[in-house]
Amino acid sequence: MSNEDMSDWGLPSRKNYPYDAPSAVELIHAVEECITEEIMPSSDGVTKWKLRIAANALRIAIREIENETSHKDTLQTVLTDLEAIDMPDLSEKIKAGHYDDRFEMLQEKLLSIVTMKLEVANPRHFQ
Amino acid sequence: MSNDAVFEANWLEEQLHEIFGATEVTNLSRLSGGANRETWSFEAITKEKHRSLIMQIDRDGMDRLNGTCERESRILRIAKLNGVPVPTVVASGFSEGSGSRSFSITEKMPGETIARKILRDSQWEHARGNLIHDMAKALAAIHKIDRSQFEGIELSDIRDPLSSLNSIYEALDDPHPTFDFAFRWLKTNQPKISESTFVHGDFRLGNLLIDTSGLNAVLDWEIAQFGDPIQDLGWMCVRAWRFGSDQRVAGLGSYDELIESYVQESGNDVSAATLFWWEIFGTLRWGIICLQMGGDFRKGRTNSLEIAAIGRRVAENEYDLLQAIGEKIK
Repeated sequence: MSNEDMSDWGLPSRKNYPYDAPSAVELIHAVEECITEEIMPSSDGVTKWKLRIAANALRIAIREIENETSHKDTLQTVLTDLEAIDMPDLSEKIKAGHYDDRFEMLQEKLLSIVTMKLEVANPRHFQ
Repeated sequence: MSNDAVFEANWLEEQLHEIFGATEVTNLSRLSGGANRETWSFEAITKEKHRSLIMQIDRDGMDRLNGTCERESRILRIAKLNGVPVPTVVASGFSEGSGSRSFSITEKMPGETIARKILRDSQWEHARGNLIHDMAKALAAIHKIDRSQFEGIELSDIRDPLSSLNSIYEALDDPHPTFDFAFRWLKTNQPKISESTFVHGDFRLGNLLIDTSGLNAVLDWEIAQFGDPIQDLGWMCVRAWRFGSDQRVAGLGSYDELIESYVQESGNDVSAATLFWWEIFGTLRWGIICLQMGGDFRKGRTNSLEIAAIGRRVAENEYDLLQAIGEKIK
């Protein structure tokens, strides 16, 4: 044990990063844990209910930060498949009947977008 | 909390004096904070009688649903006369002074409103067995009330529900392709709209008071209006109002059970296809309400964390719409 290097505690390097640790996700996670494990057990009624909503909102924020990059790529691929520039353009094309002869394909593509949203907003909602 | 505590026991005593004679008010306590109104519980004690009462009063600020407590008390009186189980209205009126707000005082009835408890706790098991029939019977009674009885009460009459909902969505200017997909499906598959009747508008667990034998009272008449009666049946089938249960109707039972009871009580014919259409309509409606609430937060109309979080429930409704419509088109 004596010759083990303890200087970085095995954490990933932050050599090319402007900010100190803990990271944004780590900070949010710490607040979420503080709410659910330290504050909530001794609260009740409206306060407990509000704390539950607050902790849940923080978990959404963590999932969004962690998935944002890959989800943006997937969204772009789906939009390209549907020949749409962005979400408002996709809305306009649906309203104009652009996919009426491919309604089942449209449903599948929309489901792949909404699945990403729900993975962030509320993964427990999947059956 | 600044505009919350304007109602003190002695103000209530003055209101009740005219009705009951000398009255002492005790145990005044705040029950919940809806977006549009405050609800208080208290005891009213006279020489002869001890009454448990509920007072509701309009709250300042956002008036999304546009239904005041005084208006609701007039609707409650009409519903009661027509055999709908509702609390008896004791008093209603307007507060004095600047920023006059309307209030209603009703009897406090026993029972539970929290849906998750009603659907899971063993003490409500017997009630659960009766609820679909009780709900269908109450809806049939609501839908039968002759519209002339509401003369003088401002109620909207929705003859084209799809375009009404679409106008609300378009006004938000926040495109959601899945909502446009659902509008497209609803338009293509729209059943013949039934004759417009009085409808509750928000009939589901959470807004119903349940006792151990079943439905005790129908509450929350803020968005009552005229429209197609089957919308009230479809609304309670929306997945959000199943509260985690896998039973399609209010988390309690099946389409067949609801349709059988409603047809028996109302004499109106309802098909499963029409009920499904209204379930999809209801899911889209709740999704658009979530979008609207998230928008209220983003535009700074409210700083409520609860309302901000509801904005993120849009995705649940989009998912439910795609799943349910997906089953029909495949």
